[in-house]
Amino acid sequence: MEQPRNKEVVEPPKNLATGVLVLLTAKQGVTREQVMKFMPAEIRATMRLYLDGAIQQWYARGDGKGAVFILNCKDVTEAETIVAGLPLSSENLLDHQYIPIGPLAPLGALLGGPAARAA
Amino acid sequence: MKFMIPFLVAMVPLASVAQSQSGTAPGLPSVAIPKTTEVLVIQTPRQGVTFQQVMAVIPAEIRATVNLYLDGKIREWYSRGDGKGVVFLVDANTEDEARNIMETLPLAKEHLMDTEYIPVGPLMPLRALMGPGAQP
Repeated sequence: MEQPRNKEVVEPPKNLATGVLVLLTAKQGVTREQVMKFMPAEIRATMRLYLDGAIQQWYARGDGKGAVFILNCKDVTEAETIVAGLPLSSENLLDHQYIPIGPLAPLGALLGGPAARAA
Repeated sequence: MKFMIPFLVAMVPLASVAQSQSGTAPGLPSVAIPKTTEVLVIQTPRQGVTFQQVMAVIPAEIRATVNLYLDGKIREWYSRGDGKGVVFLVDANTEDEARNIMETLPLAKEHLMDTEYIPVGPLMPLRALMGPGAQP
């Protein structure tokens, strides 16, 4: 984790990550039958991850195209390892997007400091 | 496991199924599609937008964001660990409702952000663990 930088920097600062948002969608060309074959195992493995505390939040997408998880891990590598153990992913049937997330850093400005004074 | 099949079919994420505006996928039974309980919003600065451009609006953005939270519109808020924006879970039942909320924010008004909206709801596949009597 990097130290907070002053406001002269041009690069956005890296932020603390307390979890990883994972977007899972079926790969293009994957058929319903291919997915169905592994779905019972996928459901059970997902529930086990939740019971192990690895899955903090789980959602189905409203468009029916997949699922969204928030995982309890500190970086994308750890999240990838967790998700790779799920049947649909180990069978290479899903596209994955990983976004590390953490505290909404700009709220720090409410405590005072340069950004707050600018407001 | 045979009893599970109707439920399993219902929740398969099918890339081939076109997304409709209403959020329902034709060809999937209605049990497949969760009720949208919130909308995931992923915001990243547009290509070419500088850190300084964003920072100029951030004081107003913070205050407007906290006001949305205090109004109950933002359920969860996160910074991206890669520094490329924010992730919100917005209290909305449709993408349009979420868009109307988010477009009140200063960074959006200045057209500085790309925004992705993903309606989400209960993880419907879990119904399969409920056994044969688990009709919706």
